[in-house]
Amino acid sequence: MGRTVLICDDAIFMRTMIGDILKQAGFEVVGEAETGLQAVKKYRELQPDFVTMDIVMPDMGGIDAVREIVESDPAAKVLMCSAMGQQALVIEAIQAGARDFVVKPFQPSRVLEAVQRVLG
Amino acid sequence: MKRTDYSDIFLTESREHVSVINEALLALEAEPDNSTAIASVFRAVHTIKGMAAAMRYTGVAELAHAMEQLLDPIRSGDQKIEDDTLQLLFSATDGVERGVEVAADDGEPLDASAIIRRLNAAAALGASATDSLNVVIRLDAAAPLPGVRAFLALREARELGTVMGVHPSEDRLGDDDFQGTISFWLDSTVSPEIIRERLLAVGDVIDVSVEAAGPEVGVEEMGTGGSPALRRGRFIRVDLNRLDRLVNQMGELVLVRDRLRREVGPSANPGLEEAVALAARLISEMRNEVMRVRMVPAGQVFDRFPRLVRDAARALGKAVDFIVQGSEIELDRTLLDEIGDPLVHLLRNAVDHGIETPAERNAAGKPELGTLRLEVEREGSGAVIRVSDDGRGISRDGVLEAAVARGLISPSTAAHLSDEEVFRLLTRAGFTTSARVTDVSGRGVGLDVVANRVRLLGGSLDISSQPGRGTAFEVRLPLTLAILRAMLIRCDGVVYALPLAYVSETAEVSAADIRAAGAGEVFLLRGEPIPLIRLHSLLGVEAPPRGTNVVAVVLELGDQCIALEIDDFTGQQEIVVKEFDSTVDTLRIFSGATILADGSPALILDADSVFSMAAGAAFPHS
Repeated sequence: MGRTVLICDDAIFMRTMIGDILKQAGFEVVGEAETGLQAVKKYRELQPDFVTMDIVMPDMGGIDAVREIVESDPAAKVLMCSAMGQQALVIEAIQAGARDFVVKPFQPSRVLEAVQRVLG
Repeated sequence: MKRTDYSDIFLTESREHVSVINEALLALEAEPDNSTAIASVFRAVHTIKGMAAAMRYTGVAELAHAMEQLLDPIRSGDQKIEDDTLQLLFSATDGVERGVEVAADDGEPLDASAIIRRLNAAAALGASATDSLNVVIRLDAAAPLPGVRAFLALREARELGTVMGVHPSEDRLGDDDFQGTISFWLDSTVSPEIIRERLLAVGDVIDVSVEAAGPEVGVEEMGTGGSPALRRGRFIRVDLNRLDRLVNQMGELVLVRDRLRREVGPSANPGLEEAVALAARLISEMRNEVMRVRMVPAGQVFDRFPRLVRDAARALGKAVDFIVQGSEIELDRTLLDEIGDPLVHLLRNAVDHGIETPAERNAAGKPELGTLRLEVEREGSGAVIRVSDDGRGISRDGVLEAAVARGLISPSTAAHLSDEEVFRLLTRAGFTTSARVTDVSGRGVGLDVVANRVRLLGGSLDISSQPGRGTAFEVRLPLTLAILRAMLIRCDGVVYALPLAYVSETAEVSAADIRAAGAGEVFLLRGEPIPLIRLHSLLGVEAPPRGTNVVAVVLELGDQCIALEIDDFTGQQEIVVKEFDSTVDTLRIFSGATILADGSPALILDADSVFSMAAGAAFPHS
């Protein structure tokens, strides 16, 4: 069975896109979250192998969500999804405990490489 | 009681133990064999571990545990404590300190995984040899958010060791103009191949270069407090060559400053005058800062001396109380490195020949415990390093006897010499009053080597001694190699600078007392023939006819003395040495140039060349 992933993004479009890339590579999308609060809650329920996390989301942003997730599970593997020009935010997310990042628009090869590093 | 009720006690006690650890580590740094210090570190670490575990502060407990593992073989005497290990323990102690504070504050728990890994690696290695590496990482030009990738690479590097001197600085990585190349220093026990591999795996990295670090200089901001974090300060490593270039350019800028002042003078334009004055002041301040960059506290070299003195005393059966003062005074790094060996020699000499055995001291009515002092003081724009003991002192008669026996002086001369002159004989090549060969001081390599080294550094060595009371050696050094004390002399109407370190005295000689000797001339100075050379002939200028008196400056290099005949003296001054541009075909006799206080330039005479040219002029030398 493939590794499990929780996808967190407030845009359905982005969730679908990254979901397709991961599914095609054999990962199992076990859940999706539209807000930071949902992300934290679903992570605890689902205990996925890794998480993709958008930075800007309503009801707790991605960075705070990472912080909460990593606090409750220091082994949590979170991959940040960012737009160009958000480097300062991504650095903050990494300091909060995220393991790696990908930049939109997503290129499947880059996403999968980053996932490998996160799971590595 | 709830856990929080204990946290105040935990915090107070842990703080005490942390300071015990720090003090003991400092003691170990000065004296790695100090078993009492090792025992107190071990005990304090162990106590913290127990308390932290009881409080469920896992991070702190694990860190303390790792420290304990590393300390165990050292405490049992199976291993010596190396400097690397000490530095690692200092870092770990900082980690414990932080961990204790945040834990008691219910803050984020301590993540000490990186330092724990290093402690474990060092413990596993037995010896914790860390390498200093210069790492350069180049990222793929197409990498999105390269700054973040660089940040990830840094994070990875920190897992491998201690990262310093990050360029561009870490807080600039979030900026848009990051160019995709990051470099830093890495102190790591991990092999360069593995470091490369791990950094390449960070992603978007196209090239990693890992090279052994070149010569380095630690530039420290000294804190006033006693904690190791403050003590070690924040620092970057800079290639010494770069600093030298900077110092050199600064020297040029100072020349420009002086010229600017001269050219502008009192101007009709007050704005211009003010701007020049301001620029001049800034340049002066900047020069001082640049000079300061090369400065490190004397303690960096002195720290190894207590151990050395103790070992020497032990080997010779002497009881010595070694006192070091002025470790905090800053000196030029190169100067300090160079003066280290001569000081070792002086200290060993003092223990070997100066301080008597406890029995001898007892018989002489002195305390059995001898005192040896190493003191540094600022003096003017230079520094004095004083090595003094309360031992038997130097016997004037013994020195004279040995000097006469070796033919250095005649018995008739011996009687007129002042104490200072007698003691100066000790710095003549091969001179020693000691017939014994010991493991500690050896034989033959004597004060002449020390005196020469000091002189090469632009300094001077003074010896004073009282029989039965002790001996003091005073090494006077410029604060930095770029500034020199010079005697200004005039020859054929031109002023030259002569490093004062080589000048033993000045003399006015009656022309009638000058005699021909071989192809040259000599005159008698206190009964000894000194070769006399006219500076004019060395410079290739025409010498004027002699008057009734001749002005000469006596130069001393090793055990040789020569006198240079000049027109007159114009004074003494501190000069900034500016190296020569060797593309110009100049006389070898000059070592550099300088700008004098009145703004005029002057050439600096090189004493070594003067001596060899004098020898080339086929002077007889006694």
